[in-house]
Parts: sequence; structure tokens; C-alpha cells
Amino acid sequence: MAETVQTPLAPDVDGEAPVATPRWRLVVRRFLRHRLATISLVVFVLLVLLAFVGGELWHYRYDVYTPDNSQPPSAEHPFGTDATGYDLLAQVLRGTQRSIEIALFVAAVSGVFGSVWGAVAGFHGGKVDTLMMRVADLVLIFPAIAVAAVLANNVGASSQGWLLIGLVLAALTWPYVARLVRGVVLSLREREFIAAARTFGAGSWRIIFRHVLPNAMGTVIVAVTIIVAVAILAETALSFIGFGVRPPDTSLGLLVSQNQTAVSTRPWLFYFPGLFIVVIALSINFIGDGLRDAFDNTRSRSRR
Amino acid sequence: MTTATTAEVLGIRDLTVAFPDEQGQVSAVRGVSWSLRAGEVLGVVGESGCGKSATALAVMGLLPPGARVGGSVRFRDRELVGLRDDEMASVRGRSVAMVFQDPLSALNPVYSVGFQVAEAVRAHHPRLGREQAVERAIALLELVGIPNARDRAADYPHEFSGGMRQRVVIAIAMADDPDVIIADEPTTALDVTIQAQVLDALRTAREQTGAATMLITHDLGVVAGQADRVVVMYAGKVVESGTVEEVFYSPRMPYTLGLLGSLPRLDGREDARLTPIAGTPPPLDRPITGCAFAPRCPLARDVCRTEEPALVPVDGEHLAACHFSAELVGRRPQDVFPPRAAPAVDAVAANAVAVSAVAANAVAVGAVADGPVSGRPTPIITASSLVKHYRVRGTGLFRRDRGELHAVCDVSFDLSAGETLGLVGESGSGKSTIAKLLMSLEEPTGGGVLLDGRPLSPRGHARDLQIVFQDPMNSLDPRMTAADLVAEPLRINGAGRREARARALELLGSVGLSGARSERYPHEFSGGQRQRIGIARALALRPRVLVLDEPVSALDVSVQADVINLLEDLQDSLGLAYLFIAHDLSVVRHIADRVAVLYLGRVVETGDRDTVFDHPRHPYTRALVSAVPLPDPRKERARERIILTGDVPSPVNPPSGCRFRTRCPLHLGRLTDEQRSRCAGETPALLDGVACHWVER
Repeated sequence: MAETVQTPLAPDVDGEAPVATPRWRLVVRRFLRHRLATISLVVFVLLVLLAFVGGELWHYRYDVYTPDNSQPPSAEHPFGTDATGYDLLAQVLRGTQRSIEIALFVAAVSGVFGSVWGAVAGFHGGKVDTLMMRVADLVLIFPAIAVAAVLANNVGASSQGWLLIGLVLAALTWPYVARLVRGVVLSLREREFIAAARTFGAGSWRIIFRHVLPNAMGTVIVAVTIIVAVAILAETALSFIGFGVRPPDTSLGLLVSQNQTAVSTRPWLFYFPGLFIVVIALSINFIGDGLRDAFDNTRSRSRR
Repeated sequence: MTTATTAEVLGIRDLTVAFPDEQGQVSAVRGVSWSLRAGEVLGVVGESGCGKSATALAVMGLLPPGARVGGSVRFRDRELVGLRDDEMASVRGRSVAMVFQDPLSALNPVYSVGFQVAEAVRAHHPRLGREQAVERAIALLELVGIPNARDRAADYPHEFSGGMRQRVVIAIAMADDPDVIIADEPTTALDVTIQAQVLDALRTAREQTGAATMLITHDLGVVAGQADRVVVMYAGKVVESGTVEEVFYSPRMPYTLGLLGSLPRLDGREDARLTPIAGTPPPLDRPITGCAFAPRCPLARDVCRTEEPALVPVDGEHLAACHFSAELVGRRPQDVFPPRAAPAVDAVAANAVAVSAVAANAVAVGAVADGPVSGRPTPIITASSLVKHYRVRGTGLFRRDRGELHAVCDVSFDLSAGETLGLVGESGSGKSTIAKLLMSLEEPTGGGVLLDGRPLSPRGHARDLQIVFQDPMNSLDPRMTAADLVAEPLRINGAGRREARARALELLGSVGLSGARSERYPHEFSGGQRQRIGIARALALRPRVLVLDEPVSALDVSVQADVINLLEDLQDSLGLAYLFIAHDLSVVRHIADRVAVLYLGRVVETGDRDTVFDHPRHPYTRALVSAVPLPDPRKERARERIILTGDVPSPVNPPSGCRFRTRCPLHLGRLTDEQRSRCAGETPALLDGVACHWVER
């Protein structure tokens, strides 16, 4: 093991590392040590495969009626069918696909934008910081779902609707990332290695991208995983109230919404999509936990 | 009351402490035995990670949960190992009291200090009334030297300075009239003049309570002055013990000898090279065969690597754990530890030429020196009348201006090639601010710095001026490998990826970090190695001036010596000019050519190193020099110490006139009222190297 084992009482113990390990292998190794994260990653990958590949292979399509309607789960229809005869497995797979696409898109856009915004604000401080964070606050005080509903209402019907829904959600969630990152950067910029970089003549942008953001990575990752979960739930909520993805396309939120009345009579219609939402959100949160620990060089002990 | 008897109050036998760990366990203490006798002071010395604090915590039963303790700790005839926490509570305070290193975290911020001392008094005397407890608390605070104790008892810890807080902690330790006081690095976080005050308070505590004291410290000077007997620890074991004289004057274990040789001293021995101990202590997470010191020991032979030496008497009660302790009789550190030549300094020099070639393509500053001034060599750096004030704002709604913090006031100096100027001062003296001003990390409020006769540009001068920071853990980006860290300044200044990398590896090699280690991250290195990375990085652009801001104060002595030697070698081969900033006078005496002593942002005395240290003229310099403990028991005890009263005043409202007058023994003692009013009214100019109205010129 190339890491020096450190205890508070023996800070200077120097294990002679025999060979240097490439950084990515260290990261992978640390990630794998986090058991829940590893399991979650496997689950998530399976889910993605199932949704994107399985959906194509499955012999029913999400937008084609089957002769059977209101069937409980069976070998022919593992998740059952709804009143109009759609195969629910096909629909759930399609819905999962849409939900994951939207969630990852939102996370990527608001993660990148929010962390750069927060890092710039925190790093410069003073008036720049005040101005930038007030803008972020302004976005935060919009009632997100209402704004999203209004905006999405105008765009949701088009073929690239999911992308636009993603953009709307990203535009409303980035300040969460920005605020978290700014908090970390405020303390990071007082560290001496930032002053050191300045003494070699490094410019602000280089310092932000090379020193500040990598060291804020743990926070960024945590923020982004929260955004993934939030985006999935927000998309669900939007679709639930009828402003998100429109039929014949479908999403997990839309499925839950369409089938809410069937909870007592045909519960499979409600619980299968619901279960998928929970599994996706949970696994992403655990993966985020694992990534945060894996990217943190300075943590030599990881929790299990 | 302090007459030492041979009665043992605290006996430690075969104590082991192990902390569980991912891959097994870390054996912090590997079988330690010693006894503390009534009324004596036992110094426990060793470098970080040697197990001295773990031993103390084991005695107090304060180890974190999960730690495994073996062996025996007996207080009089009571076994302490294995006691439950509630049973231990009756021992703590009453029988064994502890003084921690950091007095701020040892005190509860939400209670007044008077309350906290009174609480300690009442903890073991529940019958005592509240009034009586408070009275006793005030008496204790007076005893440890808190001025106006009655009024200040109602204040909270944050209203006290570090030294005052540590006295409060000592008062708490005394509250129960303990039989044993364990002081774990009690003065490490404090300035020298404050350290002298706190050591005084500890002595008072000892005299009042008659307690035996276990003084844990890494500072051999403190031990020499305070302790009766010494225990030297290495890698979780006792390697030598005996009276202070025995251990300091005739060490019988190479480690002790090396430790003494690696210590720069304030009393003479100038220019003698320090003798560092090569390597670092062994990792304690795997079993150690043979002598733990063998890998670093120049005397090690085969038997050392296979057989662990026992701690055996070498001379009466003088014990040492070395197979060849007899060979050490009468040998000096430099006889045993061959001074290592820095391995590849030439490589830096050679390579520096190449670096400058790369550097040349981006140089915008036409830094051609003006014609040489007759007499002294042209200084590279000339700082004239530097002033730096910081605005202090309130935290309220309107952030009202609370005045200005006078960090640096009218400081002038110059620095030529190949020369080292030492800036000495206690915390708040403005020495780090001067470093920031030179590095263009801050803008001066007044005055200016000339580089080769031209004013500094606010963009900095990466190619001419570089800085090495105090704490390499903090100044190296934890997410970059050693090679990337050293390559970075080159990359920023226009070198290609491949080129920068090759040069970084060379530079790392020249500071003794070669091969695969260059791909490791900062936390995987030891403290000394990290500082070497910091130095290699500072040299990457081949600067002419290095600002060294406390470069060795975060390091252990043996490692510190190594870094100092490296700095000396680099200066010799590259002709670098050093601005060496430190609070440790011994280190400055060793490395500097000229010295400037700072107090509250002003230079109070400056001059040639030997003149300043051997014949200090300013009252502050005198006190400072006298407060530095010497690692020499006889000299240390014979010395007359000038103990300053009070704390350094706040730089927000510095005293008028001479800033030192509030603590000046001269001002508070001999001067007439008329003379005093001059101190208060007129700022003494720096004439002939001294800024004092009343010094004999």
C-alpha cells in the first residue's frame, strides 16, 4: 500500500513506498474500498444498461399497444400492463432512460457552471463576490417548480423537449453548487499554496482551475450528486403535474403520475416506476460519497 | 518541599500503546519503563511520533477509544492501567494533573477562567463553598502570575493571550494540589519571552504543590534548564535516561548524540556545520527487528539489525539502549555523524543555467543592475521605510472602521548576493508581512522595495525572488505530485511540459528526492522531505533571492539540521541571497550574516550577527537573547534571565513613542520620570543599529 498510515500521534512516520502508483489507480482503489459506493456503481451501471440496451431488446415497445390490458405482472409482462395495454416494463425502461438523461445533463451543466461561478466569486472575494452571490441568491428565491412549469410548458412538447427541461432545471439548480463551492474556496484561498502559486506569477484563472477547483473537488462531487437526485425528483415532479415529458414519450415521473389513481387497484403500475426512482437517487448518492473519498488524497483512512 | 527523595510516585513498567489501523496496528509505545520520583522534574524528549505524548495520555487514561494499552502504570501503589473511566476520574486532577500544549483548546470558551479554575477546585473538594472556591481560584491565578487576577477572573479565555491562557491551565492543574503534573509541550506554541514566563509559572506550581513533574518537550534547551533527569525516547522506546548532566555531557546512545549535534546553538560554535541524522524514524505500523535506530545510525553493525539492545545501566543510574554505548565515551557529534555533503548541488547550478535560458524568452523586465556603488556590493534588494497598515473593520452591520493594524512601520534593509539577513521577532512583529511585501503578495502602505534599483512591480518577480513557506503541508498543493509541484513554476513561465518535467526531476534529485518518490503526493512525504520539495520549487526559476519564512520551524530538530545544511550548500554554490525570517534565535545565529530584530513592526536593533547576539544593546534584544534556553544544563542554570513582564501590545493600538516601553525593564526600572516621558513622546530613531533613547553609544 503506497499510502503512509498516519495517526494523530505519529505524524511523521514515513513508509517508503516501493513504487509510485499512478493517480487513477489510487483513485480506483480508494473507491473500491467504499463498499456501498461499489455496490451502487454496479447497480447504476446495470440500470443504465437495462434502460438503454434492454429497452431496445425487449420485445414490446413503450409506445405500442399490446392486446393485453390491466394485466398483473406475469412472465409475458414482468411488470404488468396498464389499462390501455402498454407494457409497463417497456415504459419503465424508457422512463428510466429519459430520467437518467435529464438528471445527468442537469448535473453536468449546473455542476460545471455552478462550481466555476462559486470558485470565481469565492476566490476574488470583495465586491465581485458580493455581486455574484447576490445573483445566485436571486435565482434561488424563484419558486423553482413554478418557474420550471411555466418555462417547460412552452418547450416540453417539442421533440428535444427533455433537453430543454434539463436546461431549465440546470438554470434553477446551479446556485446550490455555487454556494457550496464558494464556501470551500473562501477557506482554500487563504492556504499558502495559493500564495505560492501567485509568487511564480500564476494568473487568477490558472490558480482557480489548477489549484482551487481540484481541491474543492470533494465538495463539487457531493453537490453534483445531490443535484442528480434533485433533478430526478424535479423532473418527476414536473411530469407529475403535467409540465414535463409529454406522452407518447414517457418518464418515471410521468408514469407515477399517470398511475397514481391505480395504487389500490393495480399497485404494480405505481410501485415499479417508484422503485426505480428510489434506486437511481440512492445509488447516485452513494457513488458520490465514494468519489469524494476517492479523490481526496489527504484522507488516508476511509470509512466503510 | 522540593527536596527530591527517591520515593517513586509514578512508575511506568513495560507500557505499550497500540492504535488499531486499517492494515493492523500502529505501535506508538513499545515497552517503556521509568519512574518519576517525588518532587523531581523528569524531562521526556524525543521527536514527533516517538511516543512521548501517547505515554502521557496513557498515564492519564485519555487515549482515544480503541487504543490498546499494556504493561503497568502505578501511582504510588495503585495500578492505573485498566481502570474504568469513572475510577480514573478520581485520579486525574487530584493525583495527576495535566497541562496541554494548546491552552486555547484546553479551556472551555463559554466559561470565564475564574469559573473554570473554581470548578477544578470544587471537583475534588465538593464541600468547599462557591465563595471559597472562587477565592482559591483567584489566589491560584495570582500565583501563576496573572496581573489583576481578581478582575480578570471574570474574563473568558479568548480575552487572554496565549501565554496567559497557559498560565490559567497551569492554575487549573495546581487546583487540586496534585502529586504529579504532566506538562505536554507546555511552551511549544509560545514566543520565547512568553515561554520564559510560563516556565516560571510552572516552577511556581511545582514549588507550591511539591508535585513531581513530567515535562514532555522536543526542546532540549527547556529540558536542560528545567529537568533533573531526562528520558530520551525514539520510535516508542526509551533509548537513554539519566541525570541531565549525564545525558547532555556524555550521551551513550548515538541518537542522543545526534540530536545534540543537530541543534543550532545560540552560544558560539559558529560556522560549525550541524550534524543531522540521516533518514527518518521507522514506521511503527510493522514490527521492528533489531535496534529501531540502526537504519540511521552511522555506528550500526550487523548485530544492531538483528538484536534489539536492552536499556541497561552504563554508569550508575545512567541507562542506554545501545550495543556499542561504550564506544561513545568522549565522542563528539561530528566524530560519529559524518557531515553529509549535499549530493548534487552542482546539478542545480548546472541546470540553473538551462532554466534561465528557458526563462529568458519570457523576461519582460530589463533587470540590468545599475552601475556598482563604491564600497559595499550593490544590494539586490533595498527596502526603504516600508510601512504596511491593515484596516480593521468591525463585524457589525455597518462594518465600522476600528482603526488600523500597524503591521510594519518604517522598516529599511538591504540584501546583497550571497548574504543572509536574519529577521528575528516574536509573533506580531511583522516579519511575515515583510515577506509578503517582498513577494508582492501585499501592497505596501508606504515606502517601497527596490530590486536592482528599480521599484518592484505589483505583478511580482518570480524569476528574481522566490519564497519558501513555513509549513510545507500548507504551501504544497495536496493534489499535485512532487514532480508536478516543482514543474509548475516552469510551466507557468513558458517551459514545455516535457522540458519542465525533466528539470523538475533534476531539481528534486538535487535536494535529495530522486526516483519514484517524485510521483508521490505531499502527504506521503515526511516533514523534512516536504520542505525539500518546497525548496526545489522555489529554486526552479533560478531566483537570486530566497525569502525563507520560518522554513524550519515546523520540522523536528534532526530534520531541521538537514534542511539548514541544504540551504547553506545551495547558497554557497548558487550565490543566493537569503532573507531568513525566524523566531528561533539559535537558527538565525547559525545561518545569518546580519540580523535585524523586530518588535511590533519596528526594527529595534540591527547589525552583524555576532555583535547583536553577543553584545545586545537594546533592552528587548537583551531580554530575547537571555530567554532562549541553551541545550547545556550548567550554562543554562548559571544564566541570568531577563524576564519581560506582560504581553506584546496589540498592533492596532501600539504604544506611543517607543513601542517597547510597556514591557521595557529599563523604562519600568531605572529611568526617571522625565526620561520616561521622552520614551512615551518620541519614537527612538534607529541610530548606529539601535533604536533606544537610553542605550550607551
